[in-house]
Amino acid sequence: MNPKQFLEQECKNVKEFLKDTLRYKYGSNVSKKYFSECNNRLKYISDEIDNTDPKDLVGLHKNGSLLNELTGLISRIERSSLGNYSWPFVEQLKKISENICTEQTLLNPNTPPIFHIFSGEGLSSYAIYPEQNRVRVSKNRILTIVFPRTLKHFVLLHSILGHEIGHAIWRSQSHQHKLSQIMESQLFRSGGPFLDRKTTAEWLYSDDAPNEVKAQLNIFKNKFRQFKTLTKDNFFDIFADWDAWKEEILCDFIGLLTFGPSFVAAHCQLLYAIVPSGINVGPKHPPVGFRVNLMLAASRILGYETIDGLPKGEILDTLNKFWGELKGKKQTGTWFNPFSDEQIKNVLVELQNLIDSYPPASFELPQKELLEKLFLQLVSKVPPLGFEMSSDDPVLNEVDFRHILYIGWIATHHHSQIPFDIINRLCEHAIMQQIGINTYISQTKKTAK
Amino acid sequence: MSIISVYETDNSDFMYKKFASLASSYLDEPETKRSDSANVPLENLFQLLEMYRYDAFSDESRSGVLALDDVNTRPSDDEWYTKIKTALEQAVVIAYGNVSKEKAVDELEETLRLIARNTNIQSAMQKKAKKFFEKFLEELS
Amino acid sequence: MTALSKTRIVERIKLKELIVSPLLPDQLGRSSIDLRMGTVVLVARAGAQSHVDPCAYRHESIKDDDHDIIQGRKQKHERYDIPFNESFLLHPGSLALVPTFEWVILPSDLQGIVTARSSWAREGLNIATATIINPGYMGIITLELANFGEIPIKLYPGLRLAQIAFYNIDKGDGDNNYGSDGDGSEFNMSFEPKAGKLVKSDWPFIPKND
Repeated sequence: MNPKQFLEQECKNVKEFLKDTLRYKYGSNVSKKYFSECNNRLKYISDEIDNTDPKDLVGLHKNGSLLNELTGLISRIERSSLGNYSWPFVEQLKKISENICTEQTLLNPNTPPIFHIFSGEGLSSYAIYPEQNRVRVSKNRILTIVFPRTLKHFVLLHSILGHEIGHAIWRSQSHQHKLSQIMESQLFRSGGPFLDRKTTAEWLYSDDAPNEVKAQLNIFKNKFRQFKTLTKDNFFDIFADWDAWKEEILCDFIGLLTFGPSFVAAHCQLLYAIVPSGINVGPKHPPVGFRVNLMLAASRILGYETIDGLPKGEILDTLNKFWGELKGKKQTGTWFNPFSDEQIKNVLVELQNLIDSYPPASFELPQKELLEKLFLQLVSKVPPLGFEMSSDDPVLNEVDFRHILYIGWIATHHHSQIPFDIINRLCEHAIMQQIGINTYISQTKKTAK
Repeated sequence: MSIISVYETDNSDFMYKKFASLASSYLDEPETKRSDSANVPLENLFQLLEMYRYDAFSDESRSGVLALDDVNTRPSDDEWYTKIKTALEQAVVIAYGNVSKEKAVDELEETLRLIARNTNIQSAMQKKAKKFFEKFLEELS
Repeated sequence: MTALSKTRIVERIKLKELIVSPLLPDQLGRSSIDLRMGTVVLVARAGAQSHVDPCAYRHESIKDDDHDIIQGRKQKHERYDIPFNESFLLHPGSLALVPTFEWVILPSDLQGIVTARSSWAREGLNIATATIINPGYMGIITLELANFGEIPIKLYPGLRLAQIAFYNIDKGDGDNNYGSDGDGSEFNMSFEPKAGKLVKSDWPFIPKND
């Protein structure tokens, strides 16, 4: 077979493979859109291959790459069937992110993304892959949300995906423009070590930098052949991506503003689980300790550490313990805190304004009454949700799932010492039940009209 | 270990040239723009124009939030857009003269929409769009 | 043994001595609470077993990480997640295990009895056995749904399929009887239906197959 014939056969294989994937269920109202989108892409690529001259080797190679990419996308399907991830969490995540991730396409000013869920490997597999902007054969952008398979029920940790929403919205050109303006004017160019590549490298290599950072930079230089010549001057040429670092900082802020305190807790928990020292410097990620410190400072500025009017007592004590432990993760030293409170506040205000214009993406702190009700349910080992029976008739309320997550995190510090996995299951169960309640409330409202 | 390692270079130049050439042919021969998949080049050009409008060329090339230890991944050569951006700038000036970038992009995007909807395009609009695609192709070659 | 009236049920729920959460309007009957279908279904896999053999369960409790035992357990049932507004078709002669939508915690002085709702029973849908919920139970209740009718029945999460009545125990055993198995384990709760423990401590009566 010549390369063109092989690719034509492969197109047929992909078509059969795509049909085969419909053996499984992939969540409510998702399967059809995803199938159609993949089918459309396959049709385009097949037509292109058919129309490519067998002697056009460059053309064949390029189309082969597109086919490969599509096959990769489809092959993930079988790891995304219902049962491999927490569908209640995913439904709520889609609900808060669909509006802000909607983008303008050629024929539709408001094209929502298609969400595809995938069950991945290892703790670090949390991600939302938004697909590249350049050269796509798509009608709708597919956002692939990846959950570690082992953490299926650990909804408290899933709050980390708020960061990933940041990456997804960065891929929208109009959002990227606004976000870039905000971050540059309010944070990076208003002082601190992110003025330019040189300043960041100087900060990293400064005398003030922790010994662990210096040690790590030496390890890279001595252990990896390709980094033998690594210095301050070429750090962002041969090791790290400066723009990626800045994008990570932005996405941490987005995570905070979309998921609130549960994002901070998940952020600390997971980052320190992977890098216990908190000092990791990565090619695409700035130092862990710097990021955590920044989020803790931002939480303080946003007033997340307190709930207005919460009286002294068990709940307040537990809340304080929760924040106390988080603040204990702060790295000491000015090196880890290069931005002022004013800079952080200014960037938060602008980002908040942007996110507020795409409801319900924005996180709002719960009122103390709600916090109390949810807390008392959870510590009594009842899934915390918007139901109570204070009178003779049940009272039902819609509750934001992010409040359930927050109360879950707080409850991890309660003296009842409910195990972490049980708290997660109770919260996941609550999110599922709350979807039922919300469905009931919205349908009965429609009928009443 | 896979049987082959291929360092995939970015193929955006190649693809955008192709898309621009197709869009131009749709202007000359609207009957070639009949199938649904003919919208793919138009959509890509639209998205490229949006990137140009907002100067937002930063694109996807990273792993998840917690993939911290990937030291073997070099920083990406994400200058994929440099030549393309210059080509856009030159093409806009040639085709639209002193009109602002915003206006030029608006008109181009509207032309793409009209092509996608198989609607008649005003001759002046069509001429400018053709000139744009020609110059864009020339700059990318 | 007396059944609790609606008034008494509501009283105990308000006092948080009895938990049935959540309750939607019209779920409270005169002496029972309607229970809704949850979002998971387990159906026995046709072909997974040729017959139910207690011998296969003999070593379950002692060889917990045995490949064959785990494989047998995991492959016995097909598990389906059914989000709201999606449906599940229960075929004639089939038995499905579904959780209730409600989370239930019983105090040490109450026992629950779960039965089918007559409106569904008339369509052929029944609870295979009247389920006894022990005092101190915590978690979802597993409903054993059986289709005794001639045609399949389409089921949606949220539908009220069963009802639970509560009976006073004449002498409660105190607060150390909690957990989903009444085994005194404080954090042992049921989040999903699971296959029952067939043999338990009956293994002396099961011949060895070595």
